[in-house]
Amino acid sequence: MITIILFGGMLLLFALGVPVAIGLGLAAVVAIQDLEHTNLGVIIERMFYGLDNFVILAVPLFMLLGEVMMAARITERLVEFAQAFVGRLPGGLGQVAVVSNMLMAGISGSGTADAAATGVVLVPAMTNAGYRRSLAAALVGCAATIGPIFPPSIIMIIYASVAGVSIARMFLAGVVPGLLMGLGLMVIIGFMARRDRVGADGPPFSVRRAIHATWRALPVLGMPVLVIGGILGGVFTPTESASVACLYGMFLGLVAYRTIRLRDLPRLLGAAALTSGKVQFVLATASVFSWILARADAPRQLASLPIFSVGTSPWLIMTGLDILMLVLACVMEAIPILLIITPMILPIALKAGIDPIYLGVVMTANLAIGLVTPLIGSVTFVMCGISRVPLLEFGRRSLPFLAVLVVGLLIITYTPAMVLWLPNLLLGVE
Amino acid sequence: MVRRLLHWSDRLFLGTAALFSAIFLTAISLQVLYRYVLELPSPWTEEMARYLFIWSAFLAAAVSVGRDDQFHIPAFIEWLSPRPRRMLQVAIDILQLGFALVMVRYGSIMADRMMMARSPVLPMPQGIAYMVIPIAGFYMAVHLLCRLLLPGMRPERP
Repeated sequence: MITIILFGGMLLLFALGVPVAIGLGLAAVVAIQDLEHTNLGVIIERMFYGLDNFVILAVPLFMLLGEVMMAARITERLVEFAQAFVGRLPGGLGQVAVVSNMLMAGISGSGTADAAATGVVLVPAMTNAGYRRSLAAALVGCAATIGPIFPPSIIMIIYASVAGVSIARMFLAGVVPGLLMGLGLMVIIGFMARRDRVGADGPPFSVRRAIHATWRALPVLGMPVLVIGGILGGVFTPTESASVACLYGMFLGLVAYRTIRLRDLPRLLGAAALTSGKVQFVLATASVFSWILARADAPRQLASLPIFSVGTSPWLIMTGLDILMLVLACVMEAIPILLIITPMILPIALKAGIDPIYLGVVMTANLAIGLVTPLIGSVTFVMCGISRVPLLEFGRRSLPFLAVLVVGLLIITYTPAMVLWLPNLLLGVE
Repeated sequence: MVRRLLHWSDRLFLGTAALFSAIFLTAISLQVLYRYVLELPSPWTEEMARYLFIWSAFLAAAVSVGRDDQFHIPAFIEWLSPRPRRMLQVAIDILQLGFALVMVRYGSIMADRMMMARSPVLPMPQGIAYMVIPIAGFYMAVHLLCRLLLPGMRPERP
């Protein structure tokens, strides 16, 4: 009964357009009247505990890092670096866009930040080189979806803290899927360039230029080494690594490149705080929501439904999850979906013998693709804003790249061994 | 007049949230410094960072409610024609106001109760950390009431 009130109330409020955080909270306020020995004080308590978590602190810090990196205009150096190596491949600048986004993915934790940072540099450059503006926007947008799959990743941090799994393991498990998505995009760009007889547009490869570009990009390329290496080597906790990365990013912008001034910092901190506040409010009320679900024993009841009996194949569950998440991604933002679905799917997955790390990577990949859906995808909005391309035109041009991403998603979904190979190799089998 | 006041109070709230993020960033970085350079334990940095983060998050969330800049599903409301849309917006604001008032009332009860509970490490009661919830709820309620009662106060959705 409580479960029906909770979900029914939530869906109704969401459909009407009530903000997600408040919709979750109100559904909880109504459902709690049905629980014995509880009063509304528990809502406040759960909202507090939802945020009282040192791991979650990495989220605002990675958001701040995204703001700092964008203001410090580090992308130009990464693009130059990518250009020196892949600019001669068929579809030159397109390949550069993918590689730049893969490099950005290793620095920032968010696809939206990657899209904004690379889009402002690459879309004008590609348009000047003769690309259709909408194609350039679609390509950069789809490449930016690698951001949350490749470590570090805000989505993975939130998943790891809700599901209670190791962030280091999650991060490592995202490496191969991220590379796979990137390579897939590079292949289709090469293919499209051949078909349309677009030659390589970059200058010829030269060792001198490659060394020069690497040297210029080296301080920026040090960032993933610092973050990922620091976490894996046990030097920092993920939260600490995020704060060290922020300081390093500020150092690059303020001292090394002189692209940000000290008086820009309050604005960057404020922008990051506002984005983070929006997310944390959902996190707070979602933790009330999932606490009531757990009190009402809903996840266990759901997991004991006949379709999730022991004999059900994990593939079937994972396929169902892919479909459900892609549909949800067309109407909802990534983090709210993650916070609502994870507590429900986790008991089902564990019962079917599905590894929670692999489950998290598949969910992340789904949510990443959801970033470029036409109605609500935040990357779609960023790219359409930067390039002034209408939503529908963007959607139409992204279809071939979306198809590649979905194929990548299916490969990830059906080969858990590929996802778990790297974490098992470096951290041992769990 | 009211619009100007709200503009300045938004800046105050967001400025405080930004300042608190700067402090927790410093606290966490200090924690690393203490461990590796000074080889001293720093029990207070983690707890301080968590509490400042909670304050910063709720203060910024209150501003996001005030600016009507939250995650939501716009499909249905944008499909409506202007008149029913305005009516639905009023209904949504009343619902939001209801939740803000829950945050004020039960938040202050919890904060009051937690004034008795000592924080594990820092020399302060846990109630101080809880206090941000009624404060944020109150500020949300102020924004929503202004929007409901005064004409022309509805923010443009970003």
